[in-house]
Amino acid sequence: MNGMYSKLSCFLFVWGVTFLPAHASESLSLNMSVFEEVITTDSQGNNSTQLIEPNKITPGDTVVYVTQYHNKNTQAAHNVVITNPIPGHLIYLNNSAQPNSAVATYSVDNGKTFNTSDKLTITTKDNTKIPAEPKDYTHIRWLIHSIAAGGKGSVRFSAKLK
Amino acid sequence: MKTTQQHITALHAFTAGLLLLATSHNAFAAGTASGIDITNQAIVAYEVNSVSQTPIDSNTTTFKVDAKVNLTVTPGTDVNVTPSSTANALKYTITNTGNETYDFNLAFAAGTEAFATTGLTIHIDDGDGLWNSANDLAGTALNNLIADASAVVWLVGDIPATATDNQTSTYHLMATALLEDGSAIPAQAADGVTTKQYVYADSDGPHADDNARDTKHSASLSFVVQSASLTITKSSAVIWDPINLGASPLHIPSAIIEYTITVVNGAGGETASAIVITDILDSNLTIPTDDARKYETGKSIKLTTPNLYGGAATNLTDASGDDEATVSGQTVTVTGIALSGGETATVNIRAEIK
Repeated sequence: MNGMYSKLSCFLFVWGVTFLPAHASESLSLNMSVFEEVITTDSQGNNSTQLIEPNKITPGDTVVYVTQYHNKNTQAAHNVVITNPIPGHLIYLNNSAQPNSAVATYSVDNGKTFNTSDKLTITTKDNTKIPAEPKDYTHIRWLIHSIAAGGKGSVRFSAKLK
Repeated sequence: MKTTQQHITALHAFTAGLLLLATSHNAFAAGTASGIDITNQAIVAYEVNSVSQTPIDSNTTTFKVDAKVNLTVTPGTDVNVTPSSTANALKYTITNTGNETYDFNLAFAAGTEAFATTGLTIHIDDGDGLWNSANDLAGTALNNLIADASAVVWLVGDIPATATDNQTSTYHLMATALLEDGSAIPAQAADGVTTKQYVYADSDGPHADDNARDTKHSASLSFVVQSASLTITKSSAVIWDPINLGASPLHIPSAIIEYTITVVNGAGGETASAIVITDILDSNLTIPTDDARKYETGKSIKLTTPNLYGGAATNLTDASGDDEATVSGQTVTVTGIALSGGETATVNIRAEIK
């Protein structure tokens, strides 16, 4: 296998509204991490889930993307929208978006439009619309209504490597 | 934990659509190819005091898809063989179920053997999936089998003459994965998010050296002997003597003995052909001197066999060359008998006590 890169970085969607440049030292910072999700069973048959360094990810393994945010502004932030691509080699694990309090929507058209999972459709080769499945999702987005000044939190989702 | 933080205030004007087109999709059934780096980055848009702020990117995360070393050896079906036959072939299919290209080393071991197959060698199929000794050459290596690809190999041997009906001998064929340059698969190392690790995922198999997660897999197949199992029995009865004639005859000189030789091919056996029955009369016996004491003039032998004379009992001459029976000195020979599984042939001989 030659070293092919699947570089998926998600960037800005220009929404045609005016904006002010952020103050140099105050902003909403984002920190993203990726882990491998490992389920271990103890001697009593109890399962526990651990997040570990993704050192040995092979097809079929589950990874978790965690995006932490910190509102470093002196004012609250509103209508906070965090968007993550779902890389092409990964399939979103249904219902894994957290927290439940942040409304999760998904895109099946490469980030052009977003909707809740029950409303997403894809068009088949013979032009019929069928419900979209997690394997069709290209992006995931969370809406957090407000983050207080200094507030911190995180969003996360899981995906399985094809 | 990946914690490099970036505060980006510049505008990025790419559209997401462009970026996803740049993804090359190497999706095998065996999974994403090893070595591929998967990166991701989040972006946040927000308002302060109802004024939209400059969207902000997170750092970029990345991890490398590691090598999943996995393979299966799938057995074909057991092969029926006959004793003394040569070049009988058992079919095994090797499949690379990992996510990169591997070479494979091949080896075999005997399982339970009721008979010892001789001359066992491994042959590599030429691609048509059919055993042909001219085209499928001996070898113990498969080269550059890509992810999801399969190759057929044959384990070929000769069956000893001593093998008997329904005996079974079992053989395990094992494949060991190697890197595509022929070197050993690296050990499973513990660390390295951005370097390619090797993860062994194979199951264990029947070969004694084959354990789970050891880059090997194996499968078993058997040679099953399907031969004819003939049994032969002989009985005799005195049927006439010159004093008592046919009523309670005794074993006295000039008495006539009838020998009955029965040959049975056991049920389920293969057809046995060219059966020859040879009976040597005791030195105190001779074929009858009086034609009246034979089955017919010149005929001391009677044959009943399904494959000749419509299965009807038929008298055969003592002379040679004219039918299946010959008497030469003390030796009586009957040839040409063939029996399918479950059939019986009977040879009757009239002999006279000297």
